[in-house]
Amino acid sequence: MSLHPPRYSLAPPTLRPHASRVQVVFWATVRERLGAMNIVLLAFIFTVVLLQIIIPFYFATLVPGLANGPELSFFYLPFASQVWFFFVVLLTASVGAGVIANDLATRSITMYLARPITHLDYLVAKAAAVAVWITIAVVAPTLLGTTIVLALGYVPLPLALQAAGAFLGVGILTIVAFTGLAVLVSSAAPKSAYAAAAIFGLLAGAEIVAFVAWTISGEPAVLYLSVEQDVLATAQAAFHVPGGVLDPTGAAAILIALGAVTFYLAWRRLATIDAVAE
Amino acid sequence: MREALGRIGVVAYTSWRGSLVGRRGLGLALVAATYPLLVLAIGASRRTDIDLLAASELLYSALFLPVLLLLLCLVLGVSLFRGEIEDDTIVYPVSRSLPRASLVVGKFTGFVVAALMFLVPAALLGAAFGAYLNVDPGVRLEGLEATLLVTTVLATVAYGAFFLLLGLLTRQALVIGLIYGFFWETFVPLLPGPLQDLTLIHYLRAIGGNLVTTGPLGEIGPPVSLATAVGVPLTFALLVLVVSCLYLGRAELRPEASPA
Amino acid sequence: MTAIISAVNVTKRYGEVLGLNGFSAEIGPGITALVGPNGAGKSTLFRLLIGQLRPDGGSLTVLDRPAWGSVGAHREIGYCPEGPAVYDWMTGWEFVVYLLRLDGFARAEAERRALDAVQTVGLGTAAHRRMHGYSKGMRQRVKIAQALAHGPRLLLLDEPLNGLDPVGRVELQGLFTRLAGSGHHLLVSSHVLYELERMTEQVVMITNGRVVAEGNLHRLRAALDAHPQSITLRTPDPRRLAHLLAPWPHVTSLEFSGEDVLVVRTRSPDAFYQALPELVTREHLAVRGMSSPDDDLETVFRFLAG
Repeated sequence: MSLHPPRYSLAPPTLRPHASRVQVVFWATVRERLGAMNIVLLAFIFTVVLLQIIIPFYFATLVPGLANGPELSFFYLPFASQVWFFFVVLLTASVGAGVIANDLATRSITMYLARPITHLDYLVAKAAAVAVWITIAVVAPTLLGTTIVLALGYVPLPLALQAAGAFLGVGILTIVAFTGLAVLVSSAAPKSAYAAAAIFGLLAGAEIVAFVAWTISGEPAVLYLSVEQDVLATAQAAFHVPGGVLDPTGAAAILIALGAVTFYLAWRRLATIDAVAE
Repeated sequence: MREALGRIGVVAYTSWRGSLVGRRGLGLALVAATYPLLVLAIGASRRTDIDLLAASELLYSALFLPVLLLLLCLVLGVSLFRGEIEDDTIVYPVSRSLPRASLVVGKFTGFVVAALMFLVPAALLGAAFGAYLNVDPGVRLEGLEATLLVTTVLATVAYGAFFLLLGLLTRQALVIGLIYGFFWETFVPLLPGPLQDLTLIHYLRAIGGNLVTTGPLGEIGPPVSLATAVGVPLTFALLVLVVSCLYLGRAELRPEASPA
Repeated sequence: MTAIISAVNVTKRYGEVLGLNGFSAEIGPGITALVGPNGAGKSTLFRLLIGQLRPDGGSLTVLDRPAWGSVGAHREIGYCPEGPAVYDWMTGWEFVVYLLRLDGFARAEAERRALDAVQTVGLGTAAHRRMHGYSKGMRQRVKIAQALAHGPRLLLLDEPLNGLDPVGRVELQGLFTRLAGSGHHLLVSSHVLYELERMTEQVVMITNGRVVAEGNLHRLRAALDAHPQSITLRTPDPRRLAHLLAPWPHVTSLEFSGEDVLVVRTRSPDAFYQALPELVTREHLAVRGMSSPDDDLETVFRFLAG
């Protein structure tokens, strides 16, 4: 007796392209981070930023004969206050800490990597999801605030466009740096709690260390160590605010390099993970 | 009584070990060591225009206490119970004949020992570097070591107790702890008026104001007496621990993925 | 019979979801099997019994004490949870020692008992390795070890055989049977129904948070009037036997299966078993074999739980 394999009349299914699979992971991660705490943080950020943009322009309209009218530097206020930065860091920690760490801790990363999804696909999708959240916190409220002051007639269109461009530029640099740091820490920490503390410690702690070191030594170069100071330096240049101590080009380069290096390190870290474990 | 203390000791020892296992111990050491290493780095620059002792005090007050110590206590303190609830290992100690209050006391004790193991040497080392690597080495500030020791211990006890309770109460303990530690304890003391009396760091910094006569630590007041500066954080910690014991005694410990 | 566990109208809610819904049962000494589909409320019941959860309604007592708040009673209860979580950084032996010391055992006694327990469950040299590297089966063994080590009167075992290899399953079933024989009481849940049947005939069936049946398995089966029990008889003359059985009022159907096999369906198996020997003797029939393929836990479970 001989065995004959069955004949299939249906053609094998066509796999969707890479990008499609990455999108699935991306959207799943965006939805996964949609929790009450993150919504509350976003709401707070929106409130703070909108108030900080609208109120100065409102009071400017009350001051008769204000020399030269509203200026681009008026839009700098959200950066000048520490509150917005603090909550963006907090949101990054809240959204980004568990994005890879949870998959590693629960070994559900096996679910992804046992499919035709590469480590890079996985990382790109996760980073993109974190970037979306940080974009909503960093860019959306500032652009919304600019639109509102334009709609209220507080600023002319050219100034509003200039401000929007500046917010977008500084925002992109911030997003790149924060996203890279978040995915690296999340891929390296054994638990999301440690990752959150590490993200916060690195971003907020570095600011304090750099500031104290500058106060003690008088060397402005130490401020480059702080991501917040780098963001402020680029924002000061973008919004024509005088008095910056750091070179904005250098600060921008540091932010881009930070994002690139951390993303690369995260990729190398993931490549060492044994996807199929006991 | 002896048996009860023995059981608390077992929990404390295991909690202490669990805090240091694997890379955790290394992580704690690195976080705490940031302070003395920074002082050492500044001292190694041999800058004659920097008063290293004052710099070490400033770094203690602006970095060690409100950032490093607080982060360390937050991560360890929250995970004392929240970590076990999330891992669903809490079922083991609570299914034994050990009173739940003993579990709180034991875990807290283990945490305090583990945290102080790193924080006290780091604080004292930072001050020692500040004194001996200074341009004028050997200039000692009277009361500095006592200030650092008392402040570090009290801060660890007070913050640790609060974060332990936070970990019992909510899944969002870490984020809420970060908001409390870095928003409430950082920004509120900068506001004028009585609001700063509601922060722990106001009292912790006042210890230096009472014990040290000069330098950044001594320049803070003293707005409150030493007894108040020590008593408030201690009383706070005690009250929070009592609340934790009472809460855990009545709390359900649902697994994170509750079965249908 | 003194109830070891007594539940009267116990309810437990998880928000909108009812974990237990008016659960009432009396669980007696020996081994009792707790059977139900996924999500029936078995794990919820275990967690209520061990005092990890508080009932929202009704009353639940274990060893004559309320389940909630009786921390002292835990000295007599050993619990093996369903989940695989253990303290990964400890060795298996350290884990058992730690929990024994929480119960108040002195160090030396705890270490001795822990060694006995890990040897009893067959953990071997793995007991001194960190549990981080344990397989599922090893984790299961160490969980059972910690449940046994303090010599409790009552063992609550939530899916204790999960993840074990076939040899391990048989070994531990034997252990549970021996424990019951030496005076311990066990409440065991499992999805592998034939394994539970090997250990006990006492069952509590739960579905949607409620008890659908409790008691002796065979009596439950016999009581299922709507589902007549099948009895297979091997005889050289099945047609003659069928002709003689047909007038019996509780026989619902007769079916020939093969040359010498007659399958009888009866609503009253006890009456059938009682009357068959007399018929066989009187009519000089040769019945070479008899079995009931559906007098088992799985059949009862299937009929009651759907």
